[in-house]
Amino acid sequence: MKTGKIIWDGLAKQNPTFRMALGLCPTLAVTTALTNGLVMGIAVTFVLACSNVLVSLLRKIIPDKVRIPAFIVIIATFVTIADMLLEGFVPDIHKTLGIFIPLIVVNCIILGRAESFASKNPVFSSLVDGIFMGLGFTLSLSLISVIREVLGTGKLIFFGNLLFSFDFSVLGFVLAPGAFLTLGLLLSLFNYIDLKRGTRQ
Amino acid sequence: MSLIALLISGLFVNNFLLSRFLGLCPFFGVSKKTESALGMGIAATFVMVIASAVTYIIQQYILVPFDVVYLQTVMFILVIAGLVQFVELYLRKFQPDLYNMLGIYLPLITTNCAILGLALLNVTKGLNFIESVVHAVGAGGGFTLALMLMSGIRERLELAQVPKAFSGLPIAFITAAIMALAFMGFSGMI
Amino acid sequence: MTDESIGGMLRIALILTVIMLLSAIALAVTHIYTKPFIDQTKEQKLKEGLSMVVTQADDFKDLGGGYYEALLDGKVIGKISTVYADGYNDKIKMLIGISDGKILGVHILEHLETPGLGARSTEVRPDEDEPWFLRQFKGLDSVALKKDGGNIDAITAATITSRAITDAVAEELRK
Repeated sequence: MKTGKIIWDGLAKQNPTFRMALGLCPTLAVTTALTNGLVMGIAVTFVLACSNVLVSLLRKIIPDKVRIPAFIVIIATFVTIADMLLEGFVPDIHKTLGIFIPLIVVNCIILGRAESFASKNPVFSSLVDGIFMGLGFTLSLSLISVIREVLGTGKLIFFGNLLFSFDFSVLGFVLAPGAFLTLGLLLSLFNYIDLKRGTRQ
Repeated sequence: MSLIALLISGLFVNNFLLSRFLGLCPFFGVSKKTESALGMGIAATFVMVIASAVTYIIQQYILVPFDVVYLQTVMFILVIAGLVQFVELYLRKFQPDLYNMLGIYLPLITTNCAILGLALLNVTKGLNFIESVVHAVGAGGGFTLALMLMSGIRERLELAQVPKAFSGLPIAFITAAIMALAFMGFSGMI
Repeated sequence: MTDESIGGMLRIALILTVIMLLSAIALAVTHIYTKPFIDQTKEQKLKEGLSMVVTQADDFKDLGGGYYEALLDGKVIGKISTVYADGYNDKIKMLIGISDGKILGVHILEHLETPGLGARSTEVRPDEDEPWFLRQFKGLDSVALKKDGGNIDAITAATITSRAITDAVAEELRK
């Protein structure tokens, strides 16, 4: 498979959030602020790239019957490593993300890519797939976070630095209903773009 | 926290789906039919209760005494995966009626974050054995409740005239937003 | 089912065991490497917190169990205790410093309150150096929210968080 196609698939065509609606729990739970969404996205990218590479390396050794438990152990290992690194270097964000870091284990994107891509493709393609699927996820999370943080708190903060602020906020956007609403509206927007494009062709 | 407060918290106030964002995949995937929503809910509650009890024992008698809490995620997910397999085998052999009802939902439950999330929440909240199990019953009940409400609404939405760009997932999310808003009304209960 | 033979089963079991062993080793190594960093950042946050609570102190003595003494030139000028309040989302971990029945300062170490609501309890206004909500407590000998007939302004739309913190401080004052 061509590298360019893998990159485009990950970022846009098969975007995990907006196209496949995968990994919804963290997408809604941690996107109250840009920094949180971004760190979560980077952690998922790290786990996805590492587990993809290892699964691809071991794809001929792991017997088919125990492939799922083996993948789960591999993924859980990288998730725990990411967890410990975050706790050591960005403790405040680690605390905010809370149980959603260990829950990366059950993020369907990661097991999904291990099963449908890395277990069938060579190491380099799997690495590229992992990185760009992860970046696609990070991009989506950041987009939702920015909308919710700006509308919900009237501010945008990037790792403790105030980027801008204004005197307007709809608190609901940082609360649970705002999460569902933001993602619903974004999904419909992408649908609308697709429909427009479809009628023109 | 009293046991009743824990139960109410799981059912309404900190509803897993609508407030904690745990276990959303079946919420938007399975929940188009009320019967399958009920089956999924019961199966998940069943596994949640057993998983809470088992992970509590593992945490208290293996991970903490041997100072290997960093193996928590790996251990918990393996135990949950094994447990789901075991429940499936047991039901198929000894409770065929129940198996026919819940069997197809069980494999989906291993990778449902509500189960692992619950096990981890029990630990971070420092709940004891009984509290963990009660918390599981409340959380599972709340999960089933939200799943069934959603499926009831979506059954009717199928027949409604929805703008094209909103049909399918987007309208489901907006429905969920309104439900979450309604559930926020419970927040003064405890 | 082709590899149902004993040899096939053994091979599967062996491979799974090896994967799990390697996983445990990888985690143990990472744990040993990251532990000093985790401990160090925790200690640093605690130190910062302690000196926020009793600003005039030049040293702190750990009494164990979450209790500390604030020292100035070797003399005890206040006692600090670690207190947990029942916040909206989770427990709020705070440090409260008291001397002669008066509050020296309150500092929040860890919380999971909602951004824009309860999380504003740690909000620092521009040109100020400490959270406005917590500064209200300084020097008081009894505290309650204004809504409850007391002297503390609650955070807008975050009464649960405000009351949880205030109640925890009041409780500590009564001790």
